[in-house]
Amino acid sequence: MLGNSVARSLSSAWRPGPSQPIISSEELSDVSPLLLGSGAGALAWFRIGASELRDSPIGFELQQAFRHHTLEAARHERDITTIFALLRSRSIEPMLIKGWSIARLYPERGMRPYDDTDLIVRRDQLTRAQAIVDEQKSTEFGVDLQVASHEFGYGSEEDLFSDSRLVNLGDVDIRVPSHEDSLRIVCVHFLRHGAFRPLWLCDVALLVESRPWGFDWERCLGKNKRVADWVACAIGLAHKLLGARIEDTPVKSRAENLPSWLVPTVLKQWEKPFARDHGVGRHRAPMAAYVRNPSGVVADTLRRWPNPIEATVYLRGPFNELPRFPFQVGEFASRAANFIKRLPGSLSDRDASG
Amino acid sequence: MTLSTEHLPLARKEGLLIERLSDEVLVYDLDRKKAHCLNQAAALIWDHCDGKTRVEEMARILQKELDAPADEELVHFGLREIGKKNLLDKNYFVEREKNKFSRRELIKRIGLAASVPLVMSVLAPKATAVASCVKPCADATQCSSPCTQCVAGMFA
Repeated sequence: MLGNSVARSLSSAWRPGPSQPIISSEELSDVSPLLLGSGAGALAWFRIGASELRDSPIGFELQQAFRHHTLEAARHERDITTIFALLRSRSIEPMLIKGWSIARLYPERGMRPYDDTDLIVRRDQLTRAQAIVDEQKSTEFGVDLQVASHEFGYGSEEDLFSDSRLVNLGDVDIRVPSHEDSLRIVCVHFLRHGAFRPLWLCDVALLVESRPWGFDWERCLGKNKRVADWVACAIGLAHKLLGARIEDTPVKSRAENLPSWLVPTVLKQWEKPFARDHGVGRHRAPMAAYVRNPSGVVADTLRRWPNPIEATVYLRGPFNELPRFPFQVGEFASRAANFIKRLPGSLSDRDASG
Repeated sequence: MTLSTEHLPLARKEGLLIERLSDEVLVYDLDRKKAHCLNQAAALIWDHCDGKTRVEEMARILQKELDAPADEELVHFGLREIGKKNLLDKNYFVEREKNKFSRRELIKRIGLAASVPLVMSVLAPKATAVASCVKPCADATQCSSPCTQCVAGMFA
């Protein structure tokens, strides 16, 4: 099964120092398009770094991915310092989540690629910050501005900012969430996107294993019991699939008793770890377009069928042994209802834009 | 032939992003939007392209640092490789056509592939896109990124 091979290719890949791979040359050859295409090529390169696979043609491709990501990281870092300096010059204090804030923790900066810069600003500064980001032309990559969302289990905006920390990047201090908040964010993010990208589970494993002294599990898991359980399950997946060490964590027991459908579901997603096969990436056309031209509507509606993990998280459901089908139906129906509610507005927007 | 210092090789400094790894140097050309990887031998030559170091001196450095045979031909080959990627100052012209050995001929002469200076292009892995939308779309027409959480997005 390809998903299993992906997992074996990436097990312990986030740790410093080479280790012997537990994957054959043939297996690696089969999964390399999945690894390279989903941003995990450089991690796989480190995984095979001490073996003879290193000198194979596949090894060369994985190494090229690492080189490419290393240079991309250098370009991103220029952007990050630029946008932080710009926003601060207008009295806006941003916080960087995911992306660089996680990539910096890997042993090498090219191991973990990222495409854009996700910044959180205070709610009352969002409009002003967005105008500044829209105006400036000096950054190469996209800047995604957002406000603190309760989906990630934050206590409050102030709570998130007050516990954040400054990390040095060149001459600029970059504000990032606390290690506790970061771990919770990557866990929830991984699940709410249906767990389709193996790289995100490596982030979970890395953050669990790189916990600083005094790591506050209570803060990480948060006050919401449902979110806390999702975090424990994501950590459990990192343990089961990638070999993350969880012996000394309070989630060990939960992590070792995952619902039976969860691991097979993730492995199935990893057979197609590309954005084009998930979420709106699968859609051929906006649904509103089918109102006037219904050809292909059935096939495109079926493409919108959610995977069990994203459906559960969307409905804020529990990860238990109950079948996932009701959650999938529930999510589908909820989104359909939202669509119908918004349809008149969407149609007039489409008419107005010609 | 004796060269005055103004004709000695000089590395280009502007418009480059340089990343040093343990055994190679990565360079991104911001003007041409191209990425290159210099192996250890090429990186050593490039590092000594300071407008003061002569080719014969570079050959001695190469021989010492790599603990492998190196001569002026090898340095000229390296300078040609580096020059082809626009990593030398534009005012410097390598004696490009003189004693033009191929990589294979050099390896045959020197007997050690690792000490032949090489510069290769670094290409992006196919279909890599690791961003995810975390910002819910305001309406059904906006969502263009793979955000399954987007309320409007699923039926957009």
